[in-house]
Amino acid sequence: MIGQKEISERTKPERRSKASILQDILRAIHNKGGKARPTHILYAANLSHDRLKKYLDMLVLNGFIKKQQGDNTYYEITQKGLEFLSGFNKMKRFFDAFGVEI
Amino acid sequence: MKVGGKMVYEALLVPVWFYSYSSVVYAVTALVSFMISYFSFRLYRMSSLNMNLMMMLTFVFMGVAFSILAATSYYTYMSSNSFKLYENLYGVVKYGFMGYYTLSLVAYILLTVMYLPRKFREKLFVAYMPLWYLDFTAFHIISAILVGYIAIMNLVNFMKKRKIDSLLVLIAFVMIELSHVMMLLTQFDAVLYLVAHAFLVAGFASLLTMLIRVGRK
Repeated sequence: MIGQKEISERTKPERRSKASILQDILRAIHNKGGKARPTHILYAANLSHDRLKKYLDMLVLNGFIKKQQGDNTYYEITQKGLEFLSGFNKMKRFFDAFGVEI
Repeated sequence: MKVGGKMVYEALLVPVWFYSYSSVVYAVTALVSFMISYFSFRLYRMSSLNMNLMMMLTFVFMGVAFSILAATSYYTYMSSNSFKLYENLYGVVKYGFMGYYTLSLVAYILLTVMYLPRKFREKLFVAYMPLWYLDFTAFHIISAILVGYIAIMNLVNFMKKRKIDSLLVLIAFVMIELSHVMMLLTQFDAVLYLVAHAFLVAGFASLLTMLIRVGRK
């Protein structure tokens, strides 16, 4: 007999890796013309406010995006961010082949 | 032939002429390891993700280990023609094999850590191993256990994904596992030493094929 917990374990969606979340955020900004507001990124990347802040800080720190503060806050994708987006699939295939979660 | 010490005895278990071939085998495996580490380095530079750095370090250690082994094997082969080289054979073989054993195990441990669940991986994994005590048998037993675990994790990965790239990595680790097992059985039949090298080449050829496939697309 399958327990309730086991059913919910089976049906729950697969947890996104850190790299996939970073890709979703960068793609959200890129699809908006290379510049997006935090609210747009929050919905497009499907993240909570706290987690989004954590990942945005990480991306800014590593030079993938730039924070622009004026009347409104915007995040702009950098050249390094674009390179990450284009190379992501290659990296995903490499780690998928090894079965290692990134 | 026993020059002195267990390691030299083990190193001379097989015909000396084979050392010219085995040094080529090790040089090729070192080259493939360095290619994978360079690929991982490029991914690390692009992504700044620590897993790429770990993968790079794993294959750097493996590449250096096989380079040392290639040089040691070549020296062993050359020493059969030169008395001057033969005089230093014990020291070269002792430190050469020690370097290979140590660096290979560090590479295997790093790779094993990558397959551990995230909650274990993120806590620092400290493995105490009396590396100075490593000899031929201990090295191949520990390696067979670690690579066996990695091969099982790759089997699980392949069953889940059913992709050619994951099959190639699975084949690679099964081949490397078999090469360690064959090395352990060398004491019963020296021919198995040659078989072990064939498995090693097949394993790294499989990794190279995966790398070409992934790098191309």
